[in-house]
Amino acid sequence: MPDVKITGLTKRFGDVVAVDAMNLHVPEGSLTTFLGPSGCGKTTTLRMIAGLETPTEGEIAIGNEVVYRGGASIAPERRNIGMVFQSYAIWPHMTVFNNVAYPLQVRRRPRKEIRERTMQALATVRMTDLAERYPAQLSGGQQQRVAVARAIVFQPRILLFDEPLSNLDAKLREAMRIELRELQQRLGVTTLYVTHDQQEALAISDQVAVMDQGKIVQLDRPQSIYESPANKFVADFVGWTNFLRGTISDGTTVDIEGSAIRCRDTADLSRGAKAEVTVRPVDFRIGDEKRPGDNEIAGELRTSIYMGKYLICEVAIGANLVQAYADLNSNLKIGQRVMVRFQPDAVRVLKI
Amino acid sequence: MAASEPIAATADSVALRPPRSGLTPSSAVLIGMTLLVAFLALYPVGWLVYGSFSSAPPRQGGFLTIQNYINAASNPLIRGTFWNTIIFSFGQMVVAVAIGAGLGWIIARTNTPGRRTFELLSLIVFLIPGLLAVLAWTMLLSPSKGIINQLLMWAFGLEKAPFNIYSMGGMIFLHGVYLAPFTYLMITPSFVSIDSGLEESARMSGSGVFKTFWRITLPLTRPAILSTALFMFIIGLESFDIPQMLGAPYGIYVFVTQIYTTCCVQYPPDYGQATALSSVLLAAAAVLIYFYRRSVRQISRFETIKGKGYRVGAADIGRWRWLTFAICVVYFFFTVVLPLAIVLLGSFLRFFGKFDMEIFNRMTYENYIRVLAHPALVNGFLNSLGLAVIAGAVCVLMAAVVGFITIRTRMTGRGLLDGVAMIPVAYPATVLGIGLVWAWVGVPVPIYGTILILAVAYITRYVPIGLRTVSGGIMQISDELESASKMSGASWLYGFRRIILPLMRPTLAAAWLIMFLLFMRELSMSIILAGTGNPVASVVIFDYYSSGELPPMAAASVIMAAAMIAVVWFARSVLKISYSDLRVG
Ligand SMILES: Nc1ncnc2c1ncn2[C@@H]1O[C@H](COP(=O)(O)OP(=O)(O)O)[C@@H](O)[C@H]1O
Ligand SMILES: [Mg+2]
Repeated sequence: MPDVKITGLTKRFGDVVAVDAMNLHVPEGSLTTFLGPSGCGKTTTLRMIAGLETPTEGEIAIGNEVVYRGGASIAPERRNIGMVFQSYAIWPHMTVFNNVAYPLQVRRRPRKEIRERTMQALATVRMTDLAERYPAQLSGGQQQRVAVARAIVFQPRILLFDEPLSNLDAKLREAMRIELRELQQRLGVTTLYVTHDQQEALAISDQVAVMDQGKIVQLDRPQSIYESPANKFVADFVGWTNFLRGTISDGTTVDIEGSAIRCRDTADLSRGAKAEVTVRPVDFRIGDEKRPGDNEIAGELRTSIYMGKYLICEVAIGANLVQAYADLNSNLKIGQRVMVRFQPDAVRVLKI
Repeated sequence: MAASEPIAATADSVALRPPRSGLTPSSAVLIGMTLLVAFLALYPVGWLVYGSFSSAPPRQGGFLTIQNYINAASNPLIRGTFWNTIIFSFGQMVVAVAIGAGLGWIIARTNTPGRRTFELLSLIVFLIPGLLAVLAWTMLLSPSKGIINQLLMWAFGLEKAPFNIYSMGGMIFLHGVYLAPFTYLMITPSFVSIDSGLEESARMSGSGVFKTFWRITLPLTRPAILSTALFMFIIGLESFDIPQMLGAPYGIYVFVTQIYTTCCVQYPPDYGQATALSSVLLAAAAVLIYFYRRSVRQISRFETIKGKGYRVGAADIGRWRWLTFAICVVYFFFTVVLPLAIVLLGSFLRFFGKFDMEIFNRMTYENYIRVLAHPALVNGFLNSLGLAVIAGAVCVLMAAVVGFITIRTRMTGRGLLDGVAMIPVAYPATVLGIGLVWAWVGVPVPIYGTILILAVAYITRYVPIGLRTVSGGIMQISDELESASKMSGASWLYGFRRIILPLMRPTLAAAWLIMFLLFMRELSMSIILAGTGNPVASVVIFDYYSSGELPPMAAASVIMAAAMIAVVWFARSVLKISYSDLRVG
């Protein structure tokens, strides 16, 4: 299986820079995810790799074959890339069998081989029984499987997925996510996967490329992305929703609203530098009990919402509004002064 | 195992290919198509405008002058014609919009019984040609022969016929009533898209069925109704058949019929005045079409994003539904059942105008035998069929190519192609007909006076409608369906053959059927361009009317209707075209 190398890849639509001088290496056999909000250029990147979109600048190589460089291009149909589209793009006038067999029919393989390979691909996605159905008779999840079977049937060099699960309901999405990851590992095929769902990206990827406005802002293992976001954008995107402005005091302390907050590290920022501090709502506790080593910061309770097992409270700390968890039995009144407590390990310091 | 080896897309080695420069086949198609539609749209109108400033008829020299405009303006008829045109266009618009909006509301928003049937019936009304409607209503409401008039005179002992279809009122009534289904088709989408929650909450606030319609439903659809009304006004302005048959013989002229009379009825013809009037009408139509298209764009801009809980549904209007049911029954009885029955009856009569108990004993096949022995009619039929089938297909093919390029490619110049192809939307048929006369008469190529000039006329005028019909279908084929074929390793041509073409087939077939029906009934241009050498059915049938031969006209109309019904049946059952594919607006 080849790897994929992207160098200085840029795509402009008129004044819009959809993809901005992107560099990326996708190791062979790995699953790399483009994660980012809608409009950040994920689909455009994928389509350039597929050959469906012509780059404005840059170079794309699959293995040691350059497929795009300086205006010279290999046509998409000659790139041997399997692609699963967001809309599935199952041809409605063909049976499931013919949809999946199409890439082999295009390649004029012998009849017997087409049959064998198609049925094998359908077996891989557990759709053998529905081979003679038409797409209109299939559920969303089944159409999805057909799209996957069609993309893998001709043993493509690499696989591309464009938000393949975004049209499925939440439950099915989680099941399919696991299935796709297993399939990818079984085939060992180098895969690029686009999603705007951080959980999905974290769950299935070997490496995640978080994108913002056409640029990769962080490329890392899922765990590193989650644990050590590189900046506020990434942090926000992977669920760090509380942000507090502060000033670095020393290597492990930040001053926020007059309280000295201890943390693991201060992102190599020097003393006196402005920084953004982030803590997840789950790690913010309101209550009386104080664990050893806890940071403490005072605020005013604004709202509290009953969530079944716990309360979610909004607390104003100076000019910052943060979310914190509280026990059901904590006897809180709106407007009262509360102590927000959290462990130094739960704190991340980000450059502004 | 063979099944696990990767297979190359192509046997030959894959190599980087530099971007193509120069004339690629696809840009050649784009340029060729643009030139073709530009020629069709601009050549006749160029000559028309030139002709309006020329002192002599086509190809007879002359010098540039504005005398034609002066002549047209000082024509004693012109003042009356102007007001007639306004009154007729406006009056029929009011009738068509009132009935069309009413039908739209009843069919889309209420639980009136038989709504599906009424929906189908309105399509049938839409398909009834103006010629047939005029014939039927002449038979019903002509002062001397009309059966309703005679019945009323007999029943109430009247001296004089109570109704006269040969009047401004008759023209407005007939045109409005028969155009109502078209209005209905244009307005219905906006009725269908109303969230029924909006109506339901009005009902919950205590407002009744009709108050809800008046205060909620109607205001919500007002932009669509106003824009449709403008369109209907333009249609009235350009209408030929009904004003010509009911008004012109009795001195009631509108712009279009005065143009026709000036160039094709009076002797000697005055091409100068006809082209001058045509140019004025063309300018008016262009301005109105501009405003119409702007209003349509605004409507789509105001369309709100539908949130959750959005529901479309018919409201239960209780016992009122029997009233709405009765209204529909009356409407369709007077537009479909009664007219078709009277034409059928008339086609078996030797003489139309005397009704008594003996009438069924006097019935005869003579009219059918007569018209089938009439060479002009037979040739006209064959020509019409040939034109409808072949020129209709050419028209759809052109529309499909234009639509495909504008919607499915990102080629530079595609916007221009689309714009040029849509130009004839602004052409009143009569104006285009006169332009084609000017453009081709006396030109030493065998076009004028042959069936070709009719093919050119039909195609020119109807490419925009074909384009609108196929565009919807082309847009439904998502880009990704085509991309998926490429990613599977298929060349463009292979994908076109196996994916695009099969998916477009229903749309193309439906567009062809629409063209077939439009071409078969076309009268406004044909009457100017068809002659003894190139007769078409509609003109021959019209001639029966002019000479007052109603029974043969009825027989010919029945034959024509039967042929059209047969084709629609064929299209439905063999080509599997569904009614929902028949988009016009
Ligand atoms: N064909 C196009 N023409 C013009 N702009 C485009 C086109 N395709 C994408 N864009 C723009 O490029 C940006 C990135 O789009 P896209 O790659 O689809 O984002 P994503 O898939 O991350 O949601 C967006 O601002 C979008 O509007
Ligand atoms: Mg996208």
